[in-house]
Amino acid sequence: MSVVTNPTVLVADSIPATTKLGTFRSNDLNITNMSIPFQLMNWATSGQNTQVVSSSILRALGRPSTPQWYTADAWLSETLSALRSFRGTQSGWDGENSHAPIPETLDAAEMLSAFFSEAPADRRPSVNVGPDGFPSFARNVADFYLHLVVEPRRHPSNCIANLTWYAIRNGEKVFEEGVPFDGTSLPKELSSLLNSDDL
Amino acid sequence: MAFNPINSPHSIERCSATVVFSENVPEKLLRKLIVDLSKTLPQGVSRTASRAFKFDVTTGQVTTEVEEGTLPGAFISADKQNQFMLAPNALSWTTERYVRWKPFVGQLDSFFGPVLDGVLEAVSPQSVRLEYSDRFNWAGDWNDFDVKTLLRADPAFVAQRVLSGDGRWHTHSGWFDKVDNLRRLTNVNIDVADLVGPMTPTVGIFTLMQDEANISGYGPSNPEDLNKAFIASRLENLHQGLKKLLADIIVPQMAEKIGLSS
Repeated sequence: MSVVTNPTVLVADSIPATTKLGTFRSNDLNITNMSIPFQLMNWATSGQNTQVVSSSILRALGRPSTPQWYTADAWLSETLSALRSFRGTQSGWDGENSHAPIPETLDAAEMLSAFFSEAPADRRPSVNVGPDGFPSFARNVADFYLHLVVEPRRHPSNCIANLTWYAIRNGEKVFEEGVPFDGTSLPKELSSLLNSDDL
Repeated sequence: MAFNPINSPHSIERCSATVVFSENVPEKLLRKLIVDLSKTLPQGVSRTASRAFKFDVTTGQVTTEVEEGTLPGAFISADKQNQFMLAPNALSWTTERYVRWKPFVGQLDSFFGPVLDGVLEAVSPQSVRLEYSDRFNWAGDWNDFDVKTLLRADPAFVAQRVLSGDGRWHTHSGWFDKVDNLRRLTNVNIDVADLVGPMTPTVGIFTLMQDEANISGYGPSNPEDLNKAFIASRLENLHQGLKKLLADIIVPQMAEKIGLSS
């Protein structure tokens, strides 16, 4: 070890130059796919204390690299695939008089899925597209029922779609119609319905 | 044969946003904010044990400490697809459930917004970082593998030598630019490797951009401007920059396939 006065350098000297620190699931926010010299330079200039730097590197060395297989969330993958399968479909896609889905409502449904994916697994709804061309989400389990329709936005605004849903939670029936959805957050009532602990 | 993006509507397997502070948040405040953070995170997210190594530079001794409830506050979802961190000098969210930019920034704000308000009463943001890991899997094997159907024919980010190897390679690029009086770090890593399990080729493209304020030679930033709006605007700027960067790396047909222009 050529330098012993600075723990950061000491650790860096002990790491093979080809070691990659960034391909594992780290709970340390400073580990990235950057090379070690690049990370150290970045750290050194970002005011990190050396103990944090040293710990980060040792943690990285102590863990196996991430398997290259990426395991996507099954519910999210299925939902996004289902929505994608409706892109570009024409009127009459069901062999009868169905309307073609409007791309903007499919976009909104995709965005909704990002929020639904954070809900408890037993409340994540299944997606479908109805003959009216509107995407919908539905879930029916004990003490929880939800049927939500994604409708085209009705008025020019920052909302991207309007949501209408009927739900039953603990026997209480809820109906909301035309609630604006802007893509950045769930309507408060819907978020509460999906995420509250009172089931 | 062709490349398939790892997800149906896009190719992102992981996305991470990080805000680094100008100095450490005072410990007492940080402990309170970590408790606050635990209330805004999704259900099913739990705090992980903090693991640290300590060095004694006089003896060279290394000791390991694993403690529950110590700093920083690291939280992880049960399926490990969401990781949240509030450290003395930074906060971060890494997700493998990226869908679209709008919900991503919206969720980031809902998870960290209240905590960030508390943080910014004590310290300022120093840098904002956004990272994407994109992956494309080859439908064939190494015998018919053709990386040029994914990467542009004149790739500015690939050292030419690596293309004459056995097909598996790694390349790394990183540089600084001056953007809006900030120092922007851009990093591009490209890996061509085997998928674990089936020995089929996969291409991982890691892209990172980080904007850092008040770096000598890059111009000053008004301290009053280093606020929550600064973080939001830099994230938006970095997002647009990273979209353009990936579009400069991959062929136009794939860029269209993954909705890069939308």
